[in-house]
Amino acid sequence: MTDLDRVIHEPARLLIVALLAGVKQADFLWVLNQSELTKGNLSSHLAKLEEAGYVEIEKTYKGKTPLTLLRLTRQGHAAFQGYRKSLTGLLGKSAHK
Amino acid sequence: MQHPNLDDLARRPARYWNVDGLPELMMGLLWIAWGGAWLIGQRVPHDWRWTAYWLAVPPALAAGGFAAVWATRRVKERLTFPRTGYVEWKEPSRGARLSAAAVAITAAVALAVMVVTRDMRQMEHMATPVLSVILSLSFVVASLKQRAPHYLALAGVAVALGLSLGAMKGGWESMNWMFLVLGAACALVGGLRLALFLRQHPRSPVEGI
Repeated sequence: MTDLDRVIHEPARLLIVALLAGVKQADFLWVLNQSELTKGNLSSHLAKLEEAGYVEIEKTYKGKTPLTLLRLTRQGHAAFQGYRKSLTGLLGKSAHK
Repeated sequence: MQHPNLDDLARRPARYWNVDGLPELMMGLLWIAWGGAWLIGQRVPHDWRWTAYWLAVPPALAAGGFAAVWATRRVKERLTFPRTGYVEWKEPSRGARLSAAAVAITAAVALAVMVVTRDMRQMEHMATPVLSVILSLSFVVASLKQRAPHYLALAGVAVALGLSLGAMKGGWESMNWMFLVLGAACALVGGLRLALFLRQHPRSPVEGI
């Protein structure tokens, strides 16, 4: 378990990162709907991911409506790929035991 | 919270493109235009009108394919994104673009070889059923990849339509009828799904973090 990135390993944050890994960028509403997290919960996890440098948050406007755009940074993509590799490795090891 | 299924999450953005029925609706309208334009074209008198029609319509229909994608995005911006969220999809990779081009070129070459080497009369009766099977298989693949069972119904409609039109030996015209009717079925399914989507997802209140 020591190989796994603790920031991403938390299920809600992994969910957010995995969702963002499949798109160029998405807004807060899309991640909220897809993750089924509460608004507050999502906000706090996003703040942690932003602090770790994995997610970029851009607050903008579409017309008069506020729009919060979220995208995975290069570091975030690398961390997610690394996490997937570590997880596959761990699963492989446990299957061989 | 359970550990999320990463493979399932990776497919979510692609599935989101079809969440509102708009792609089927647009594709249906496009096919109606294609089938209808070809059917009308065969009834145009063989004088200057025929020349003018066939000079203008094929490029317009080809451009219609691009216009449909553009229009789908614009309508999504107005209807879908304010309700269930905005997504900017990743551009297809170079490999994916090259494989799509390779498939299109192979299909075009195969078609050209068939046209040159085979009896045209036999081919015109085979074309509609064969195309319907290809379309049907595409619907089945889309249904499995996108977890969209309604595509299976469209696959059934495509095959049934192709086989019955083929049995009627209507020649090339049956292909136009197939696009017209299949387009109407797609537009109907898309329209119903869009109506359901709009009812299930009222416009979201002001969004923020």
